[in-house]
Amino acid sequence: MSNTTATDLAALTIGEASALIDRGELRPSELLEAHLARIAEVEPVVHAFVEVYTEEARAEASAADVRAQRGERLGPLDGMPVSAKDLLDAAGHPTRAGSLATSERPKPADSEVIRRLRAAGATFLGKVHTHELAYGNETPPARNPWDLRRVPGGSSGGSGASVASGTSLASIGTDTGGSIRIPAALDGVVGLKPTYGRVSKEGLQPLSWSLDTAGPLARRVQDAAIVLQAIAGFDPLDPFSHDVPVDDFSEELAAEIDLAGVRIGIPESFYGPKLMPFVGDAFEAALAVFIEAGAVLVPVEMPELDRCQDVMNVLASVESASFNQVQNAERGHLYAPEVRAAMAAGQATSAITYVNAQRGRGVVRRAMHAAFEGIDTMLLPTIATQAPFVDGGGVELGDQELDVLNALNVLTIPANITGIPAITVPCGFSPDAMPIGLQLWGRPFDERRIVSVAAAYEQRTPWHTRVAPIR
Amino acid sequence: VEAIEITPEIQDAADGLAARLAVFVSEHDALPFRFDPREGAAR
Repeated sequence: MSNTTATDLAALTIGEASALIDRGELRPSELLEAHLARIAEVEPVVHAFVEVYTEEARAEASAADVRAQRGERLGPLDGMPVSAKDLLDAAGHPTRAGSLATSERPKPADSEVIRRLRAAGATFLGKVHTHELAYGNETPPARNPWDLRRVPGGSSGGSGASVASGTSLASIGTDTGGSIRIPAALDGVVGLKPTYGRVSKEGLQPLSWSLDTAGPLARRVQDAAIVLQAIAGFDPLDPFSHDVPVDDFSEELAAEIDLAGVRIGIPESFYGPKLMPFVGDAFEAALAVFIEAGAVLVPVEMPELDRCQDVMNVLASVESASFNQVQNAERGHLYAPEVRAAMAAGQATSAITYVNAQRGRGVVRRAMHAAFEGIDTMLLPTIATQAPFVDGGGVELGDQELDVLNALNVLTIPANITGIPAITVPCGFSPDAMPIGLQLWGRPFDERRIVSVAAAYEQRTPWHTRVAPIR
Repeated sequence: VEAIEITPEIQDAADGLAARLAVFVSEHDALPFRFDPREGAAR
């Protein structure tokens, strides 16, 4: 690797880097140093990281060097530099959740997700920015590596910006209404929201207990599957965890994945009226790829999905106002205005309305389960528009002007309301050269299928190979 | 000044949301969420 630059190494995928280590052509500590050099180069403008744990990471990479040298690697994640959103506890460091109102006290133990990453041999680089309390889609101070004047999305915006700018091979985000998929799509990478209860939430600060899910952002579908493999599985310490078998998420990934006869539901009446024209064009081109590969597109009607945003806004605001009740009273003046407004909305909502939101959620879940009869997956755009400018005000969608939060999550929320798994992959670029994503929805706990179909699309298109210019 | 202030605009938005959800669950004769006595937290 003597002629390879730090930037080249930081642009690898997990699959590529792991293969180089297996062949003895790269040491985990070299890979880490390349990432630290890349962080020094781009972080002054990208601002993805809250803190880089340089010395801890060097110790972990040295241990990975020894395992690699002895032929005792723990798996494909061993020695891979990864980061996590600052909602997840890391031992010896505070979890600030992007807020001045949270405690500065270091956490005594790792969250279960970070514990499992380390157990798989990952080199834990540090924590990346979240929108304050995960309640937003802008994630200051992080910027979008494709256009530094624009937001990276959120709330896992630091994760998206880091993976897209080559400072983490993968990053753990959380998704309550789209917060893994939104930054992944806006930053041109892959984001995988697992089924609710698939990944432990022990040591994860909640936004909304009944909606939150942790999962990976990465540069390739296979990389996301590798990370999910490491973090998935029952955790008796998480009361929301499901005790179901963990599939081999990469099992159906092959040299050429066959899509012939795969039945894909298309909920066009839900997403169609909401799209900016350039997103519609990119999505139509993606549909043509699936048709060409032999997939069968099946129209799906679910008018119930149009109430998802109302259900989400009640569940998230009320559950968040409950979890943060003491902090709101004592330190709420430290929140950004939009977070204060969200907490106020939760306080202004009646108990009857919260119960009605849960009842409405049941209606949507039944409609979703019925819609999946006879189809393998559903396909739709991830976001109806491109990344907005920082401090750019509202976002125009169709004949409406919406705030950034509600404009970006309109197509992602149904997967949270129903708890199903979802993945986003790059599917094109806007006239402003900003990434566009498409998402696949799956049956509960059938992440393997959406990983396979997403990887099949990736194999047939070039979008994932483009690298953010950081300009 | 309260840190978290319910302004008239926020209350109006909450009331509008409540009204829409009330109609939605009524139209679908929606049941309450399921309670399963076999489920229990480990801690």
